Amino acid sequence: MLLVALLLSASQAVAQPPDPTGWQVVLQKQLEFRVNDCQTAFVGLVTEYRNPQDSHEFVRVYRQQIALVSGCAKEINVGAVRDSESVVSVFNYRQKKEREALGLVQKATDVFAVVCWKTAEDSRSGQMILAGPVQSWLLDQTGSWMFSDGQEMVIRPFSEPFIPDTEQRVPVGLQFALGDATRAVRIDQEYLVFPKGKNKEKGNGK
Amino acid sequence: MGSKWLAVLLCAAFLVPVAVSGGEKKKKNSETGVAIPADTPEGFLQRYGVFINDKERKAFKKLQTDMERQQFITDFWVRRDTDPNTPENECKDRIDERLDEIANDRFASIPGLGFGINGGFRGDMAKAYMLYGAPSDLSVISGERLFVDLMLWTYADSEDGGTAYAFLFYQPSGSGSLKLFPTELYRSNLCGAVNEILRSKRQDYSSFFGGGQCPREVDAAYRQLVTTIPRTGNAPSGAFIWALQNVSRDTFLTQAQALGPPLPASEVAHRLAFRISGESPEHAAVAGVEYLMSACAQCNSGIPIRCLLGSEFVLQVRRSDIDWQVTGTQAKSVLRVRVVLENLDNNSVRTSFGGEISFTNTKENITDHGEILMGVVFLKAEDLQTLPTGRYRASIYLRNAVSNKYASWVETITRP
Repeated sequence: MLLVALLLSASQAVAQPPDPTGWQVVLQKQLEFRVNDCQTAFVGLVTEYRNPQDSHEFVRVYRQQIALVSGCAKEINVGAVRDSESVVSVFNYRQKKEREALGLVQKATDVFAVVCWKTAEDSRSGQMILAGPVQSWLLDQTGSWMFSDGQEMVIRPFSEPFIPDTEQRVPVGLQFALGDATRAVRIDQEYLVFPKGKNKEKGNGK
Repeated sequence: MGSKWLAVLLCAAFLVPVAVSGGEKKKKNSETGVAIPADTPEGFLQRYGVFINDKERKAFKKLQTDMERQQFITDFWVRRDTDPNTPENECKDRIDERLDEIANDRFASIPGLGFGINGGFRGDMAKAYMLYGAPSDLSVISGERLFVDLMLWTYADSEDGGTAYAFLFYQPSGSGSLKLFPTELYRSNLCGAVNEILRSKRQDYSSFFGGGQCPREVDAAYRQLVTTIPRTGNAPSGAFIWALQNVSRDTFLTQAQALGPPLPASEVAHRLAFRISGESPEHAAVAGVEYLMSACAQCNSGIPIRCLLGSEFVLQVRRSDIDWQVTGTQAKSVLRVRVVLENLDNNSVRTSFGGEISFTNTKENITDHGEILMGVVFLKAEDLQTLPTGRYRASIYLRNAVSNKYASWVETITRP
């Protein structure tokens, strides 16, 4: 019971991030990274909103989803897809499959990082520039929001030793850090499929 | 069927048609038009015959009603659609466009080369055109008195500009319809191939098959072919010689394969086995199994969890924060964990451990007492003793095998 109390108190430590419901979506893109030549990992969504009441105020929301890897299960024989239209057609089918799978997992996502900022016009250049500190929120693994007023959220790709061959590293995710708090959106190496025989050729299979 | 064949089989939509001399599209009229079966269920097998494989043809013939036939045709084209993301069927549209061009006898303005006078819709030219569209280059070479006129269609590879496919047409007896040159018969017999195009061909060419001395008249025709400049088109004479024995730079590809029904685009995509990994197993319905999906605020894809390093290394999670698979009154869940510990004071000390932990419980316990914390001991006290004291960076990844929801983070912990 003591642990339960600890959990609850931690989650109440920081104010919740702003909720941009009703704001204008100005940008939406997949949170994705390339694993190798034929596999792409989809780990979430990034959406940027503008306050309809104040066009200089923006919020970027990062959402985590159940991670998916899209790619070929076997190496494409270059000779098998020799003409551009064949390549385009195969790509079209892949895109459809991806869209269907992403549509399913993105029905329910978790907001895990929020960045809020304001812009103002630079009187000298006439360009829009950042006005004031950036506010950032990061949800840690316990479910507590970490907050920073002015500290930049650091996002960087990370890799880990490839399980069949620990000498080799494979990109597996993106790590978000805000102060001491970190959170990663990532894939499982189990999702990665390598061309037949490749795993056997490498490492000791441990 | 080899993988190299896949490309050829893909919905016949190979190359962007380029302008071919005399390619001005004409209005269809009764004098110059080529008769083509209508786009109706009754005309389906005839109109699209070159695209239909034997299995499909047999299946179609067994259909009893118009409704069944229409459904078959709809499915037939859906499988061949080269872009399933659009409402149009680009494959059918492209084929119908080619059929229109044949119907309007696209090459009629080039003397002797119209579809209408070369077998019409059933001719070899029409077949190649239906499958591959307009050639990148159409060249004609005249053999004068020695060999018959030859027409070469080449299709350029859009990647490197090289010749991807080539179809050579000739008049076997020096007159009549243009037919495809039978490259398969002469794959390793150039002498026989040249003999085949002679105006006065020797019937006993097989006697010099296999490396024997070529007869003088065949040799003379070969030398003339090498030096003759095509009267139409841009293909070098060497391309004609090459096309006597080849249909593609893929030397394993036969002419019959190149002109066989293309594999549907959806099947090519399937064979190349593009797939999505990581989809939640919950989406695959299993009879008699239900799922208790956690309902906490951040549990659509994540798992709120805590890691503690004291006398033991422990992960703690609330019952209701993970997903369960329920059969009857029993619930089970499986967590897969991988932890990498790196000693921050001594970089050489690094250890990783992982595994799978199964939990079982009753459905009632989970729904009524979801707040209870579950602890998972990963490193027992005795195992921890093997780790030097100090600060560690722990990279932790935990995934629920029932739903693929996960938690992943890095934190610094101290081993006292």
